[in-house]
This record gives sequence, C-alpha cells and structure tokens, in this order.
Amino acid sequence: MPSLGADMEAGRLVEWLVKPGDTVSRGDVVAVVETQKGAIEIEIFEAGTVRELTAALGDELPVGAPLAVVVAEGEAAAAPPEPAPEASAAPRPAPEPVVTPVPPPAPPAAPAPTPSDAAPAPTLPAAPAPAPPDAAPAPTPAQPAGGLRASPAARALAEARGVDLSALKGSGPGGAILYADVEHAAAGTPARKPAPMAEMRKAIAAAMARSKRTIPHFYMTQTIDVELVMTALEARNAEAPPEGRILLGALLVRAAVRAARAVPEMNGHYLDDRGFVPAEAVNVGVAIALRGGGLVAPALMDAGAMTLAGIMAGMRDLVTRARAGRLKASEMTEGTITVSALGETGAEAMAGVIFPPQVGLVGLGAPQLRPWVVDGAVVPRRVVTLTLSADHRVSDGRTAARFVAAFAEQVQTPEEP
Amino acid sequence: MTASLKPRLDRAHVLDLLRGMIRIRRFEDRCAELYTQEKIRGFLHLYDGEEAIAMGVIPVLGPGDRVVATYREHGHALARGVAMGPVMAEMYGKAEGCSGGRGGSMHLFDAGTNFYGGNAIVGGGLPLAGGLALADRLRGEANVTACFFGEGAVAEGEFHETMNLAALWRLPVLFVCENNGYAMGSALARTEAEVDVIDKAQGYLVEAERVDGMDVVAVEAAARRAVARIRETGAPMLLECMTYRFRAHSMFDAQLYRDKAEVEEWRKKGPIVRFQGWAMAAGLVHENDVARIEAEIAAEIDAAVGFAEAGTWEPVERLADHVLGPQPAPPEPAAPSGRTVEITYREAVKQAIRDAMIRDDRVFLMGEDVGAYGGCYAVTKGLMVEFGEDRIRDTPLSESGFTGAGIGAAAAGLRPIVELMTVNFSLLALDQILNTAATLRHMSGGQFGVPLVIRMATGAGRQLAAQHSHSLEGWYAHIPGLKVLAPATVEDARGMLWTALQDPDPVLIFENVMLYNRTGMLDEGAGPVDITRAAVRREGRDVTLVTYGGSLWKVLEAAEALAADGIEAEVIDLRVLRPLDDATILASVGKTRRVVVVDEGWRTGALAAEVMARVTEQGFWSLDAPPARVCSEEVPIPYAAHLEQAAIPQADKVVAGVRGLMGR
Repeated sequence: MPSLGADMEAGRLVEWLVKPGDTVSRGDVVAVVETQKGAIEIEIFEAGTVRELTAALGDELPVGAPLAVVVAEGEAAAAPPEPAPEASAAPRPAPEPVVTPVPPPAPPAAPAPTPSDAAPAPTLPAAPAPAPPDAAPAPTPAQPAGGLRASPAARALAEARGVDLSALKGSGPGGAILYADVEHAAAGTPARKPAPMAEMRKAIAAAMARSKRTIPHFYMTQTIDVELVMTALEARNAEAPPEGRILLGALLVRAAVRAARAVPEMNGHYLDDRGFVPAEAVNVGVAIALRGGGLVAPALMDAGAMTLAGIMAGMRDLVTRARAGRLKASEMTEGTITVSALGETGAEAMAGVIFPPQVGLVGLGAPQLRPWVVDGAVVPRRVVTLTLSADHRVSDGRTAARFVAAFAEQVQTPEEP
Repeated sequence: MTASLKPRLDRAHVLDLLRGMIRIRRFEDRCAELYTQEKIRGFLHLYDGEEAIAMGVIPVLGPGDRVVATYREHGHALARGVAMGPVMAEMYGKAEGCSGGRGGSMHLFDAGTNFYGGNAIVGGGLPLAGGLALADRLRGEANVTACFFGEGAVAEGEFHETMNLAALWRLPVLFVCENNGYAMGSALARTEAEVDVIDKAQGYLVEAERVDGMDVVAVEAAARRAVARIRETGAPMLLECMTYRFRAHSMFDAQLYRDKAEVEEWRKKGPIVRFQGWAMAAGLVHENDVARIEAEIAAEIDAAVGFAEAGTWEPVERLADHVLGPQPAPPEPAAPSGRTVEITYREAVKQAIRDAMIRDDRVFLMGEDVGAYGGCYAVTKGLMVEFGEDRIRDTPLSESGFTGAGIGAAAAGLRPIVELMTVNFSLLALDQILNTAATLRHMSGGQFGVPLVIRMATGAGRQLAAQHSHSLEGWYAHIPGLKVLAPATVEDARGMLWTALQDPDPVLIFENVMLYNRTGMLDEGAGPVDITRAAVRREGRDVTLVTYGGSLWKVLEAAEALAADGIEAEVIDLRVLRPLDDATILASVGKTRRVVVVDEGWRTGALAAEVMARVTEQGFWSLDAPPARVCSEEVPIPYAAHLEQAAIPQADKVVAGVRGLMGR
C-alpha cells in the first residue's frame, strides 16, 4: 500500500486492474485504492510479471502493507519472502467469519531483506504476507477494518456501492453493520463515490494544520495588468471551438511553471531529514474544488515541457478525473509547487496555505476591472492579484520577489498560445 | 415351461448340462486369473464346485420366471442366459457390462432375462423375491421366482420373515438354499443351533426338500418337481442343495477354517467330474465331445475377454445417471372448484389412498394393522371392506420382509404403498430401503426401478416416548435414490400420494402424528400436487423461517407473534426434503437476509444443518446474520408431557431464536 499523501495511514483496495500472470511496465496503473481523499489509481514502479495478488478487494491496509508480488524478468522462480496463504491470493475477498474477529493486517514490515543490486527486487513492497487466519492473534479491538463486525450482505452492498464500512455505525446485534445500514448510508450516492465529505474535510484539516504548524509562511503580493493577454485570449477563443478554448487559468498556470523554472528555490520539497530538495521538473499542482465541497491539488506532471494548449488540456483532464475520483498516485504526491486560482469570478486576492512538502503556493484572485495608469494616463484595465505563499525555511523575501517578478513578466508576455 | 417331472437324460440334454457346468467353471477360472492381473477388482466370489445347482435349477425355469441371486452369482447369470461378453465386461467395470459397469461381480443384472441380481446383503434378496412373486400372484400370472441364497442367510431375520410371508400369502417362490457348509468361514454348526435348513422352512409350513447339490441330475429332478408344484398350488417351496465351495470364499481368503484334505475329499465328488464320469461310462458322452466342448468354451471366453477389453469406460460426466429414473412432469394444478370443505389431515390421506386405488388397479396398500384394525392412526379405516384383503393387505410385524416385498412388487410393475407404523419401526426395514430400494436402479445400470411409496408416521407430541416419537426423516433425506416428502397441509396430504405413485423411484412420505387430527379447508376438486418445490406459506421481509411437517404450524404461530412486534417473517414449508428446493429457500433469504431453520430432528446432523449449509454456500453474501436453527433437544423423546414438549421445537423457541438473530 503506497503512501499517497502525507496524512495517509491506510487505504482500502477497491479494484485490481491486473491479475496474476499479467505483464506490467513501470507506470502502469495496476489498482485503485480508496483513501480519505477518494479513489486513486496506483501505479507500479517496476516492470515484470504479476505473480500473486496478496491483498483482497475491500481490505483496509496500512501504508506499507504488500498488495501484490511482482517478479522481474529472470526472477520468476524466486519465492516471496514468506509464503502467502492461499486464501489471500484469491481475487475475491476471502469470506470472513462474521463472529470471529479477523486479525488485523500485518503491520508494515521491518525492512525486508534488501536484494542485491543484481537481483531485481519484487515490486510493490513484498512485505510479509498477512497472517494466516488460523494463526490469528488475539483480536485488537481498535483495529477498524479487521475487527469490523459487518454482515456478509452489508459487506457485499458496501463494495457494490463504494461505501466505507468503517465509517458506519451498525444497528445489528453487538453493533454489527447490517445491509440496511449500508443501504441507508449509500442512499442517493453514486457508485464508488469519494469518501464522505466529513472524511475529506478531516483530511484537509489535518494537512493544513500541519502546514501552518510546521511551515513558517510569508507572503508577497503583486497586482498584474492582464488586459492585453485577456484581449488576445478572447480574440483567439472567439474563433476556436469550445474544446479548443484557453482559459485565463491556463495562462496563469503556465506563468507559474515558467517562474518556477526561473527560480528553482521555489520548486521542490522540504524534507525533515534532508532540508530542501529542488525538483528537476515542474509538476505544477492545480487546486480543484470538488462538487459538494472539498479540494484536491493533483499535479500536471512535467508541465515545463508543455505548450499552453497542452497545459489547458492537462488541466481539463485533471478536473475530469478529480471529480470522477480517478487520480493517479503520483499526481497526488509528486507536485512541486501549487497554483490556486479563484477563476473568472471571486475575491480579488487569495493568500493560500502551502501543501507540504512543497515550499510555495501561488494564490491568484479573480480578474478585476480597475483604474490603471498606462503610459501616464488612467485607463480601465483588467488586473489579477498574485499572492505568493513561501516557506521561510527555504526562501526569503528576495527569492520570493524574483519569483513574483518572473511570474508578472510571463503573464504580461503574450506569445504563441 | 416344462411338463415332464423327470429329467430326460438323452445325449443332447446330457451334453447341455455338462457344457453348462464346464462353461461356468472355465469362465470363473479365467476370472480368477484376470483378478490376479488386476483386470477385475473388488470382491470376487467364485462358484467353483456349486455349478450343478444353477445348471440343475435355472434351465427348468421359463422365460417369464424370475431369478434373484446372491453375490456369488456368475454361474446363475450364465445359466440364465445372460451373454458371457456383457458379464465379463461387467467384471471389468465397462459401460458394456450387463449392469453398465455400476454393479461389478456382485451385482450382475439383466432385465431381458428377468435376472434380478446380484444382491450382496446376505438374506436381502429374499424379501425382494417375495415381492416379485407377490406381483405375479396379484396379477394372476403363473410365474415362479427362483431365489438363491447360501445357508448363512438362514440366520438373517429376512429369511424368517420371508418364509412366513411366502407361506402366509402363498407366494410362488422357489427358495434354493445353496448349503456349502460355510458362511464365509464359519461352519454352520458354529453359528446355528438348528443346522437343518429344511426343518426351519417346514416350521413356516414351507414345503422343503434336501438334495445332493453335487448331482446335477438330482438337482434338476428336484427343481422340476418343485416348479411344477409351485405352478400348480401357488405355494412356495424350498430346496436345500448340499454342496461345497472348492475355492476360497473370495480372492482374499486364506482358508484357515478348513483342511486341505477336506477340500480334496469334496473335489472327488465334484459335480463336473462326477457327471462327466457317469455320462462317459454310460456311453452318452465321448472324449472328443469333452474336447470339443472345452474348445468351444475356450473360444467363447476368449471372445468375452476380448469384448470386455474392447469395452469403454463410462464417461465421468454420466456419474449421476441411474440414481433416479426419468423424471415425470409435475402434475397440472387442479382448477379450483370454488367450493371448499373442512377436512382432517387423516381424512385427506385416506381420500388420497382411496383415489389411487380406484384410479390404478396396480396400486395396493400393505402394512401392519392397515386392514382389519383400520390403521394405527385410523387412516385406512373401512378401506379393506371396500377394496378387499388383497389390496388392503395386513402384514405380520416384519418390516423388512414386507417392505422388501413392496420393493419386489414395484420392480415387477405394481404400484405398492407400504405403510410403516412409525419412523422408529422403519429402522427394521432400513436395509431394504437403503440397500435395495435406493440402489437397485443404480446397481442394475438403470434396468430396474422401484416405483414404491412408503408412508410412515413421524414426530413427537402424543406421549409415545422414545421408541415411537422420533423424527428421522432427515436420515432418509441423506440417501441418493430416494425422494422424501413431508406433507404439512391437507392439500399436500391429499395431493402428494398420487404424484408419488407416478414417480419411477421410491418415495417416502412422512406424516407427522400431530397433524392427523388437524383440520383444514380443502377444495372439493383438489388433486395431485407437485413434489418438487418448497412453498412459501407466509410472506415477510425480515427473516425467513424454513420448516416442514408438524413444525409448520408452530412456525406460523411464531410468525404471528413476531408480526405483533413488527418483525415480518416469511415462512417456507420445505414439503420435499429430498431433493431440497434450494431456489425457493435462497430467493427468500436473498430478500430477508436472515434464516432460522426449524426442524424436529435432533440438532446434530439434522436436515436443518443441511439447509443452513446450502444457505451459507450459496447465499453467504446476502446474509445479515449467521443462519440459525431451532431443533429437537439431544435427548430421546421422554414420556412425561412437559418434558416431551420441552424436547421439541415450539413457537416460543422460534420467536426467541428470531429475536436473538435480530438483536431484539
């Protein structure tokens, strides 16, 4: 179970997209995991053959728990570190006794023996297999999923409707979650919906509180004249089909990407043990509000290499997938700087909170029509206010000012879209 | 059919007898060889030394006569005219065998020659033979059933029960006791106080004669006399043929129980050497005749082995064939007449019997006290007067004997209804029900069915204590080859019997004693009902209560009590305990997501456990709670009323069970 965010402790496996025997390449999407932030596609980072799926659908697994064993080419005969029980290899969830509490999933292993460099490692952490059922230790009452008392009917319905059983309160004997409880919880919600809003709100709260607790924010603001670029955009869009139109947001994201390239101190991660680690590519996070509330900020990977049209298309894709709950794990974890724009309407400025472990957040207000001095005369111009939130552990005012200047220059430089 | 009472010992007949005995001997010699080569497996019991009996008796019979044999029956099958190729193929287990490979050495069957096996329960063939003969008697056909058995069988109750029945009912059976002196390895004197078999038979007023079983001419002469007499009088006869088995009991027998010298002494008196010596001395048979016979038989055996070797293995996909016969379509439900009458369950059963007797003259009823007494539970009161003593037939207290007779009569084409007074008594007939009724079709490769109906009372509540009150229908529901019904309503009591009589296989009907006095409304036009489906007796959404028989009414009462508390129970009456109607049960559980099975059987291993297992296997993901059961307590049913009631399922226990399941 990969970590898909700093606050992720566990995830629930909801879909396998591979089966034993499939060949996988690095970057393939192999599974879908439901987290507090919704369903996220998991990529694999190795190439090889899926030997065994060790996690069953519906399992709530802590970060680090093994999901599958993948063997690299030439490694086919290698055994997994410990034999996995038959039952856990089944693609369907092994029927769990309802009365007997199921042992909690094995905790993430002490580091598995590191294979030599010559021997490619099994991918997706090949940690110890879950304990076989008959070797069950005493039940751990606090364990949310394993000890969950839910009827088979409730479990089946929860899986079909994408309801998180651990969030429910059971009405059956001994607090068992029954079919009706799930039905009630799932009423009116679409299949495989994101986790309940309260859960996402909790996750955002945790991340933002951590950010404000650990990152010494400082802010730098500048209002930028965007009249010329907006006029040019409007002219261009007037002739383009709807799907070809480019919104101001894309222009602002591209400006942020270029500024980040120009000021690498703003593009990267701050890690507790290593300090600031600049990133090679600019994976620009784009804050996306979800219908019904909540917020995610998936990254446009390597946006520095994209054209404006490419950025626009990438943003559209991210929005679609974010709202469908189908973001990739890397998009959730590998952003290097984030842009949060209020769009065409809204308040004039926004000073945002940095997404850890990033070190900068570009907050952009909605365009405003303002009296503006141009060539010594006051004229009406549309302006946008940029507020850079920066991590004072990494940067200071001078760095931030360079970023702001670079951003303003990029925005005001109309060029090929 | 032969008119002459004495064997006519002309050259042709002498050659036939000699050829027949040598043919059996050489065939079995080859079987023993093939056994050592693992071509033949299982038990192989050889007839070596006893050939004069089969060859003396069986050729005397006519084509309409019937033969029932034991597990040492290769000689009988060959003598009866079952072709050697299919017999050998059966020994191999091939599909071309005379029992389709389902029977093997011990279960040779052939419908074409009225050869009813191949019965390997010692004594078990006797009631079957009695029943075949009963069918002939009831139809007025002058056939004889020849029933072969060893002297070991005379220790079995079924021997005594059948002797009595045959004498009492004048059944045309020729009982042939092949007395080779040893029941397996136990000499007769070791196991019987009275070693005289003919005395035993005569004690039942069965005429009996002892014959030198090593002398084929003497056996034939005795058989001719006996068969002629049976055809003339209709009464049974017994021949005790004194013989000796030269080989071991079976292939795996060290023969510690007899001396080699004893065997050698008997060999000198062997039926073939003796008859051949006599015939040659008399100038009826010459050396070259024997050589020619041996050559012909060797060629026939080679051809039979070739046939068996070339035979095919029945595909495993057909494993379940021959368990049940072709299934008839369920009856069309009768159109309601609109007029209903109040009727007791007892009267409904009686109407069903009466209706069947009127509609089909192959139907007859037999059991203890069904006639003059009117039935232990008064179900058949008055029917003997209406239908006569032949068709409402009182039996002695010999459950195995008359149940087996029912099996034989059914196999011969009648439609008997056997009434067993209670399920506890049915255990005395369990051998016949399981080892013969349920298996005959299968063992014979589908050649012989047993369209028999057995009715019996079951259940507690009448203070009849521990030997009259149990509910063992779940045991019978364990047995492939049977159908098991439990009518709980007057409609089913009225309608199941006729449908059961149309079924090609044995059907057991369990009538709960507490239901006989119960009344219900029955449509005047009520007719046959299906015996394949369970019925939803009450609809509900919260919990499924699965039950059957006498418990149905308690469960419906419980459902009413639960409804008062807002719990809507759906009640399923299984009606058919084998085969179970999984679809109806699972459809209901799929809706309610909870199930409680109520079964008057003892909790451990009751039918309830099977229902729960199926629900779990097939409906696990639709369950909101573990399947639960309310069964009888694990005590023999006590006499005292309050204890008896405490021992069996009651409405309040069902209510408590449901509440426990729902946490309410």
